[in-house]
Amino acid sequence: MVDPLHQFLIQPLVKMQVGGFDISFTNSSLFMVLTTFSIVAFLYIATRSPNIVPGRLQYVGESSYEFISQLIRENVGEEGMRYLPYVFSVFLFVLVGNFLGMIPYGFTFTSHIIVTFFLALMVFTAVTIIGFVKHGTHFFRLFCPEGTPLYIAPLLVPVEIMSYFTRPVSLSVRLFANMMAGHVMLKLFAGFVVLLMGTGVFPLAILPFVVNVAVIGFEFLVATLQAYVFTVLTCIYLNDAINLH
Amino acid sequence: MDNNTQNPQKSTALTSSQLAMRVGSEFFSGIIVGLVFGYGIDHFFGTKPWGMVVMILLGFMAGFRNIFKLFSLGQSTADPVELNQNGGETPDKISKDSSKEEGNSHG
Repeated sequence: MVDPLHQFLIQPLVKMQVGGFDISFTNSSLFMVLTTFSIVAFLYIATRSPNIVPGRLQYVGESSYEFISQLIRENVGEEGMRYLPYVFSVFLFVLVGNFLGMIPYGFTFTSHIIVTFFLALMVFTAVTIIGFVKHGTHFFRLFCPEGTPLYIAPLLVPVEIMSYFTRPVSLSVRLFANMMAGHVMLKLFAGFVVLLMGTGVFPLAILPFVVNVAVIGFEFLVATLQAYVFTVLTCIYLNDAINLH
Repeated sequence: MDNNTQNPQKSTALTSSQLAMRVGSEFFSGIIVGLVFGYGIDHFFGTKPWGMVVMILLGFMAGFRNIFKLFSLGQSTADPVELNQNGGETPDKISKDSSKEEGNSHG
């Protein structure tokens, strides 16, 4: 009960095996499906009866769209607008996934590095392909900034290439570490409450309880912020690929 | 809404805990990528242990280069993309110098 890491355990709900691969439907998959459905349901209900003067739900739906479209316009420019569906999906998937993880007994799939790594790898692959399609071999200029002295290039170019490959890793590690650390912290303080209740100084249990309430509020901030950071960095990478500089 | 889209970036990009988190993850990921690449090179070309030695050093430098880029991005208040394009001059020089020194001392 006080094991703070138990909440990250993957439990198969429907066991499946195909060709020696375990493709069981787990609690992680369940929450991904729930995330997708709640996004679709939310946007469907929000746009079901559009009015000129938006209602509350319609306003939330429209402003989330506007938020991402403006983010792209600022960071990438008009040319990036054609990638809006993807960026918008990534943002909502991470955001709603983080929020569903905040529900008690919920599961936070973004606290697993393999999930965030593949989200980041998708962004990385897409951005690399877009860059090569748009600029061809000119895309390699990204690894050699203008005005680099010739004698420094043999060292700078490998470092820049490595730095390019660190993108998906740092993108995924940041999201995963934030989500996991926050949830471990929540569970730890909740565990303190339970442990203190069983001792002679049980009135002190109010202290970790108060901290936990504050941490929950903080976790909602982190959940939003990390989804935002993930999206901003996606836009910045997209900008690198589209407007090569 | 217009103001809201601008503000989170400016106010949060500069909070020290977020910055510390980013510096940590950039540096960590540099070394991890170096490790994975080095392991792969050693595995496929049989150059054990030199691939890993060289790639971890390169990953280390890449991690530092990312951190320098990050600070050139965090210090000014302007748009992060513009900073990437224009504002990177001093940190670029620093990172070039430092990577040069590292290259000399290790090579």
